[in-house]
Amino acid sequence: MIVLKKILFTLFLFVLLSCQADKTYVLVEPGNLEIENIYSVSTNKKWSQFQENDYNFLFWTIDGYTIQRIVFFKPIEDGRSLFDHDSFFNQESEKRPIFNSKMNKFEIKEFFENCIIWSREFTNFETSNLNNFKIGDVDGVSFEIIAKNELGLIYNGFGIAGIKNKKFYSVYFIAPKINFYKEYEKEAKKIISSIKIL
Amino acid sequence: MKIFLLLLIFFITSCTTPIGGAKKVDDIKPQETPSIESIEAGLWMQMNNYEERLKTSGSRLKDKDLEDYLKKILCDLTSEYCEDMRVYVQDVPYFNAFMAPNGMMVVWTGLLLRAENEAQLATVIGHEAGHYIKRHSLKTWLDAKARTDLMVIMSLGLGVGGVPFGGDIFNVTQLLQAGFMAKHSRDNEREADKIGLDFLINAGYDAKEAPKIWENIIKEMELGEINKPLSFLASHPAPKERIDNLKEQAKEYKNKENKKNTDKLKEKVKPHFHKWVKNEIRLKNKIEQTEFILETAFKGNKNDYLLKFYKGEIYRLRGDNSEDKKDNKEENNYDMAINYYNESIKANEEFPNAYKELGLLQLKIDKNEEARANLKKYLELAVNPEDESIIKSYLN
Repeated sequence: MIVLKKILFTLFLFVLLSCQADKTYVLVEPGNLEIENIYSVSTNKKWSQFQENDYNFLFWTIDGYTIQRIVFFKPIEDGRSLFDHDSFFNQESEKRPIFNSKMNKFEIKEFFENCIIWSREFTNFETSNLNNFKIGDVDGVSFEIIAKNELGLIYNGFGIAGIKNKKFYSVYFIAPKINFYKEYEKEAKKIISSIKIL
Repeated sequence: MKIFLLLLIFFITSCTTPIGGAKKVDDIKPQETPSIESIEAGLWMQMNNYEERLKTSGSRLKDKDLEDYLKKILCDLTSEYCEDMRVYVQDVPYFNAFMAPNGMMVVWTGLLLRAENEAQLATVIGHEAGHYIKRHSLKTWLDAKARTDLMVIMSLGLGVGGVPFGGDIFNVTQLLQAGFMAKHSRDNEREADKIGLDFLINAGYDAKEAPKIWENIIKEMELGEINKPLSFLASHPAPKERIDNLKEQAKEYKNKENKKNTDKLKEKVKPHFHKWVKNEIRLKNKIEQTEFILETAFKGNKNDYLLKFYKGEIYRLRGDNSEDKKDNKEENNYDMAINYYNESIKANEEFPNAYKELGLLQLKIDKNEEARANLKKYLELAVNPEDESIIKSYLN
């Protein structure tokens, strides 16, 4: 009987372990918070945060990745790229854009744009309207985004980027031009304006 | 026994006409559509679905004027088949064009950047139309299907025969099969070349331009990564052979006209030209290769200052390699970029962007006084520059 109890208890533990919530998405509550000790940020809405250690970024979304997202890139150092992992969709790795901490503000924007193009996430991706932008105490840049995916869906967005301690930081918001961009633009601007690099 | 089986396989695969291979397929007639129960109708249906997706795809370059222009070239070449084929432009920075069995032709922007004139472009368009008229897709498909059936039979036979390394032999036969398909495809390509040249000359284009586009591609391959041939050439005759064939065939014709229409092509691609140049630079191919492509694209262009400027951009985008070049006396990327920007300014003193890039680069290498002067000059020359605040942040 004791043996049976032990077996049942072990099985119960296994069941509990298998019921562990999938940590890929976590809920972000309104308020001030820190993202992986990289950024501090504040939000007035609830968001779902996607996080996977394999990726060099995490993102927030409300209705899904394709509907709207704020992407927070983890910092990268000299000689690295925003997408350092190889995938079926990537081009040859030796041709990926490479970060250099001496990049000027134009090159920061260019590097960001080239990385997204290199990832082939969009069939068209352009940035414009480059401006000075303070990310906390970092003298960074802001820019607007227009993009198109393989299905022909047009996206609008904006992003910020900067260099701190020789590391590249960037965050961007993007949503389909039809309906969703306008709906979330204001909130996304508030969030991105609140960002500080830790 | 094993040797006998191996010999049998090699014998079968070495037949020029494969067992069960493609039967004689007639040319498609103008306005002909395949009967609904045919294999060809199935191919058409698949490509029609693809075409529907392409129409709204983000990769399609939606420039009606450019597509109409390409369609007109196609119609001038193949008047009877004009209404049977459609042309789409896809925003992909590589040299390529392809024709689907249902009459959908796709031209990549990398080809439009590389064609020096309309005659060269018409060479490729006429060639692709040749594939449609000769029903090459159907032939290739029938041939592939016949060979695949044969492979299945052979693999079963090997399995039953108990050949222990049957799997490996199967791979060998697959390799042989692939070799045949490439050969078959190359025959189709030669046929399409011949038809394309007929079209070209009958439409009054300069036949001497036909081999030139391939000569440029050879040059580009030699300067670039030769072990990675351009996708268009993967199943095509070796460019050298193609050039020789085209030159030989061109001698047979008495040209009625010798039109090249260089300006017409340049005018049509003008709205996209700078974006395509940037996309080419962004590919980070070998520097000599990219320089050659730009030189070809700018041939006949009076704006030499722009070519110099973009050459500067090629080097700037490669980043600082001064450490690597320290021990030898070669100029590093930034030195090269600065030289080209200076040449651009020399060719056109009123071109603001060369001053901007030169100034920004000089800031990086601590030539601050010169940098400031060039950035100020940029602000003087640029009309309402949207980056004024950024430039000023570097001047303060």
